[in-house]
Amino acid sequence: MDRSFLSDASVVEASRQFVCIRLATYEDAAEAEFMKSVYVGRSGQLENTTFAILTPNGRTKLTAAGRGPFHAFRGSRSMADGMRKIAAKYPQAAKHALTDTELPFMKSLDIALNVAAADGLPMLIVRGDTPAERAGLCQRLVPAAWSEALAGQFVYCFVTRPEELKPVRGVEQGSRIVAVDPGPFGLSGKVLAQFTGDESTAQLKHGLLQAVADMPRSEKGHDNHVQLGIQLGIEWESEIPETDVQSLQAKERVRGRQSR
Amino acid sequence: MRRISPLLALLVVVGWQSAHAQDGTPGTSRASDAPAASAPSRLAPSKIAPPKIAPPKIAWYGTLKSGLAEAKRSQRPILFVSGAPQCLGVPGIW
Repeated sequence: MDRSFLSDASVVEASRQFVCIRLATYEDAAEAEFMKSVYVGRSGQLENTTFAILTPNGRTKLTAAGRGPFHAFRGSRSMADGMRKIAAKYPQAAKHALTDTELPFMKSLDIALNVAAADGLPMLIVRGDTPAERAGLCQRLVPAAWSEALAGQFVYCFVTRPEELKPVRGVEQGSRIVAVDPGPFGLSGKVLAQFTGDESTAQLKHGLLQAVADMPRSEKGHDNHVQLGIQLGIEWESEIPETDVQSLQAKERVRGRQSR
Repeated sequence: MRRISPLLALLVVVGWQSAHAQDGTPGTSRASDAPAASAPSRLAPSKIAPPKIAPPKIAWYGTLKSGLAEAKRSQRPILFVSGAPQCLGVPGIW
C-alpha cells in the first residue's frame, strides 16, 4: 500500500468529504469478490492491494483502478486536487464530512490488532455483552470518534464475550471501552487506557486523546520487521488463500530458504 | 489464533512488554496498573491539560458493509483501498 499518498495532509483533508473504505485483503470471501470487481491484474487474480475512487453506491469507478493511488494520480497533491474536484460533484459531501453515525469496526479483534500494528495506531475495543449495551457505548463514542482530533486515530473492534479479549493483557472486568497498544506484530495487545462507559463525552474524548498521545511510536523498518518475523517463526494465516502471484513467489523464495 | 509458532510469538510479545516496562515508555506501564489506567475518566476535563493532538489521519471503514452503508446515508463518494496487513506472512506491516 502506498502510504506516501494516503498520509499526505492535503489528501487526509480531502478525505473528509469521502467515505474511506480500506479492506484487509484475503480476510473475507465476499469482500474479496468486491475487490476483484474493482481491480484485478494481469494474472486475473486478486492482488494484495487495490485502489479506486467510487460513486456512493460503490458500483461505478470515478478514477482509474489499480494497485494503488499512483495508477490514478501523479502525486499526493494531484490526488488531493482530484479528490476535491470529485467531491464538488456531490452536493452532500461537504455537509456530511465527519457526520458519521457508527464506529468503523473491523471484522474481528485479531484482524483489528494486526491492522493497528501495521498502522502503528492504538486499537479501541468496545465491549458490550448485548447488542443494546454495545449500541449505547457506540452512541457515547461516536461524537469523539468522528471529531477532527480523533478521526482515524484508532482501529476499532467490538467483542461480546470476555474470552475474545484473551490476546489483550490488563483488561479490567468492568471496562467497556479499552484502548490497546497492539505491539509490533499485532499478536497481542496491552492496555493503554480503559473506561467504564459511564464517563461524559468530554471525559471520554480527553481520555482517548491521552491514549493516542501515550501510544509508543517507533519507526518500523519494513525489511527488518519482516526478517525478524520470519526468524521468530511468526506466520499470519489469512481467512482465504492469498492469490498475488508476485507475493506468493517471494514468500516461497524466502520461507523456502528459511526451512532448508 | 491463525498463526504458527505461538510459543515464539508469545516470547517476542513478552519481551516487548518487558522492554516497555523497563524503559518507562509513557502509558505502557498502565497494563499492570489498573487504577491509573482508568484515571482519566475520573478527572474533570477542565482541570487537565489537553493532550497533544496527533497528526491528522484518514478515518477508514474496515468492512465493506459498514462503509457502503455510510456512503449511502451521506451520499459521499468512496475512497476505496485494500491491502494485506502482512508481508511474506509476517503480520503488523502493510
